[in-house]
Amino acid sequence: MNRFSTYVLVLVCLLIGVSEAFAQMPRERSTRSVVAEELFWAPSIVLLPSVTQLEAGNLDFTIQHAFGPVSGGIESLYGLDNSANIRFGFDYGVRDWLSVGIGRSKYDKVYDARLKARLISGDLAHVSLFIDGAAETVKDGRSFEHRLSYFSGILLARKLSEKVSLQLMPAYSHFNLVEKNELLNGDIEEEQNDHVVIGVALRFEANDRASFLIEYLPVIGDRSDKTTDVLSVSIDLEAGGHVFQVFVTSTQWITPQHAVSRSRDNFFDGDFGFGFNVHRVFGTR
Amino acid sequence: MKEHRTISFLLTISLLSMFCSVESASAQQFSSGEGHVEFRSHVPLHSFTGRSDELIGAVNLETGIVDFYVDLETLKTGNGKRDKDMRKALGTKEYPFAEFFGTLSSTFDPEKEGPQEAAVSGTFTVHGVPQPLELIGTMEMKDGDLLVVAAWSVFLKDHKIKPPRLLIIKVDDEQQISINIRLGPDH
Repeated sequence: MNRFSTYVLVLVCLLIGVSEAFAQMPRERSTRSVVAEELFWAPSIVLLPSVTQLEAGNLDFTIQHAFGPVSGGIESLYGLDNSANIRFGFDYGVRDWLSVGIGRSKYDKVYDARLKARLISGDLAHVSLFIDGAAETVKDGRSFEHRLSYFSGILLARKLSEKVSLQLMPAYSHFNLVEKNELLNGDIEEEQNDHVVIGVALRFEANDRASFLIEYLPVIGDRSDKTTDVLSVSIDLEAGGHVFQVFVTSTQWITPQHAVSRSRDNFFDGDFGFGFNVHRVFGTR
Repeated sequence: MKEHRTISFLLTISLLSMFCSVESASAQQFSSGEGHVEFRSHVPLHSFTGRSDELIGAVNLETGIVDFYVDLETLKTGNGKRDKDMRKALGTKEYPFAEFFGTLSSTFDPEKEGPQEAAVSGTFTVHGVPQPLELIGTMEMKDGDLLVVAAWSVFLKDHKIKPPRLLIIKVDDEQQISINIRLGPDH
């Protein structure tokens, strides 16, 4: 080692010593900072819940409207003059993984209570459980037990790409009481107590403020006579603490068990109507 | 032979000095990963606070180096939607940290009891935009630990942050920041 190399080595050692003492700490990401991957902006899609979970202490106030069919034309302002089904709902994040909610819909004066629990949240998929129980309170002489209906299912969702999210929801719908009617022409029209559906929702995020969604509820197996699979197409608009969902849908029912079991319109025959959902989240802690 | 001895001597001295420099600095160094930081933000008729208990800091009393940072994705305002807007405004995917790096510009006596005023000057960086910052906080030795408390204001436009809007209401440009951290001695 020549003298020059030695001096360089000494200088390096001294500089290392000094720089250690004056260096910034290495910046390390928090292990708790991983923000849940956002598949959907709102806790619901159109009729179905989404895997998006309310954080603990957050209250989501929801107003949902479904107007009449656009096939009425300008005479009924494309369904806006028709009576709308309206649901007001409150959902509350009890834990980051658990939310509970209540709501009330205009048609058949339905009160419903719901629960959503996140079971798995991983890179491969997000899995949640959803249960909704409803009671129709319209005065028609039925017993309380006969007014009850249920909808429960598993939400399976994942991102297909940065912009595209997919959700599948195998679900089961049950009504305690169903009708069997003889029509004037002698035909029998029969409702089923149980329906199995595999809800499909596809979302495309156009930008930070707008995304497009399609929601389809195909019934698998037996179904009530003359009912149809519900199709909805929505634009989600995010504005500050609000999410506005403007959609067209082939049903005016809002609670999923009613939409699955009682919808009779066919989207592709032009039997769809406008609707909108507004979500406003409040922090309570 | 003589040259070889000189080289060995110089290397020994330099290695010792490197070791002593680090050792001496760390003897006066305090650090922690358990600090608290919060910001208070105003919109008309309303204000809200964002908090994180993951402020990480280090103060070296010998060199005067003061170094703090927080992962911005640990900040919570109590409203998930608002947190999301905040993360977007701060661009946390690209710029995950808010950080201060500077030096003590006042003297601090570790033997003295009670809080002492501490002036620091350095650079505060958020959204990837550094700005010079001078502020006065307090430091206090307590049970062998160093307590640091400070508060200052940050203007979003200084850091090229577009204030998020809550509908048509815009969040104030001025944000009040405060930190409170207990730093333990490094061994």
